[in-house]
Amino acid sequence: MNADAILQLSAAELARAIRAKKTTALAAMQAVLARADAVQQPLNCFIHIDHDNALHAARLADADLARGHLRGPLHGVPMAHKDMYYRQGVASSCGSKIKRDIPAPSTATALQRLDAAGAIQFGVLNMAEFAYGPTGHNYHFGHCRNPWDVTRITGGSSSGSGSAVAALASFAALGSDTGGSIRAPATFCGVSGIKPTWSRVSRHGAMPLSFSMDTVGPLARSVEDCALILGVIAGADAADPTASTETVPDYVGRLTRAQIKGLRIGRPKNFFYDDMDAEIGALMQSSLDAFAKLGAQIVDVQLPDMNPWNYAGMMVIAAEAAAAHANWLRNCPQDYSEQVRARLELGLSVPAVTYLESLRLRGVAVEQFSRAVFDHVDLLHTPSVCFQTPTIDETDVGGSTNMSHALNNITRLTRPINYLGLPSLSVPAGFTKQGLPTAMQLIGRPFDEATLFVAGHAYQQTTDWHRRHPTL
Amino acid sequence: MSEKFQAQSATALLALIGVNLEPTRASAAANTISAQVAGARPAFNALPFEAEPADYLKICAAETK
Repeated sequence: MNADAILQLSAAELARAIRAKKTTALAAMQAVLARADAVQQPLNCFIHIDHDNALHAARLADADLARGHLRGPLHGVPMAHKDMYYRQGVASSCGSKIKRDIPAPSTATALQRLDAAGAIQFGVLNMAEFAYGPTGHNYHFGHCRNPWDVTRITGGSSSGSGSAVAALASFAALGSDTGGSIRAPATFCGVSGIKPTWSRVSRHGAMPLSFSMDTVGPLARSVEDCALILGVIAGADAADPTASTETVPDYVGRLTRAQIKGLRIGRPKNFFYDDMDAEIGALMQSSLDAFAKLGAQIVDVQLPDMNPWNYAGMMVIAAEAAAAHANWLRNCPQDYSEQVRARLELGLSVPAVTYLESLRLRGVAVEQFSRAVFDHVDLLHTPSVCFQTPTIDETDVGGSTNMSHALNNITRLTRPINYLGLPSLSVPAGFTKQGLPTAMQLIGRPFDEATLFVAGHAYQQTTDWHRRHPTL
Repeated sequence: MSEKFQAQSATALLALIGVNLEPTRASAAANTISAQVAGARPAFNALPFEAEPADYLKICAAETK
């Protein structure tokens, strides 16, 4: 199998090919390193690539397999991750000046589990500073660029994860999602991504932004890859007492057995289609038509008023982020970029009573949303964004007075789902006339990622949006 | 309340937690958060007296299939 053929494979396909000895971990690593080197100049998606250690690790993986030792379901699959997952003794920059030289005290649970499953990390990816930005701008490491059009934003904060996976420069990548940071870059870059239920994946060793809303999940080339990787990293963890003890299903096994005939898919009557771009609206309808053709039942759903929840979510993130950063805001505020500093300062002004009202409201909101949605359907289908991918220049708002409005608008359709803590799968759903990808998000009950994977995988069996790759 | 007084108040409040912010920055932050609080208020006004943050976990567990 030549390098080009290897690069076209999804993570699941590559893992199968390595197991079947149709290729090797070393060949895959050499291919992806060459690709990463080639795309770094136009995209700036990597912060660091570790060629020597990656090649050495790939040789060891091949030696293990030759001896009959299969490490796990990701044996030999090269991956790079958002630079906010700690490895003991190594500095994770978190996209910042402040953290770039501070060695991590321990290794993130998600990385430990990927290592144990046989994945090989070969680099770390660009991201918004402290994961606090939805565009992909980074004033310390340079802006990350969209492989479909390098003048456009990648979305953030997992900017490098979206860009590298779309550009075939990583087979998959961890991102994180507090208000849309997996789904925005998945949407703008045309890859699949899962924001799991809050607490589904341990946050141990992952940079905190907002402990009530932070989630850990992958961006990948297919829904099957998302299912495979989430199955590896999810589950209880003694190092993170907030990680759920809920059983982790066999997500991939469910894909082969399940069908979506009769699945009830909700289409929101309100909120998600407000101010909708006509072309993206049409692509959403086409994706619903595809589900209907597969035998799903499309049901219109009236949602409760989501706007107050959206505001409450903003204030939870703002207050928790400001609390996490309070020491640095006191002692080295000049070390933040202007926009991130200004956003963190917002949180200092959230009254304690308002923060607690926002947390008290959360249970009420989940119950109201569940009655309105899940009493009638199995999942909710919505757009991830309501506008076409903007340019880097258009969204370069710095810390200006219109900053909050401009940035909050990007995550208007994703942030409420973090507030509700529900799982949401971003699935590529077509291209605009300008040749830029967009996506649907499939939203499920708490801990019901499996149904989302079944629906998204079925959709990807009849469409090829996720198989299209940018020309660079 | 004059803008100057509002800015001074915001700065003084932040000084309580040891953050020194120029009045214009403190005022801008307070204005943005005021708008967000107003946006959430209808839902806050409807909150049951007994609601507490841990309800969220209880309801998620109940809604899990």
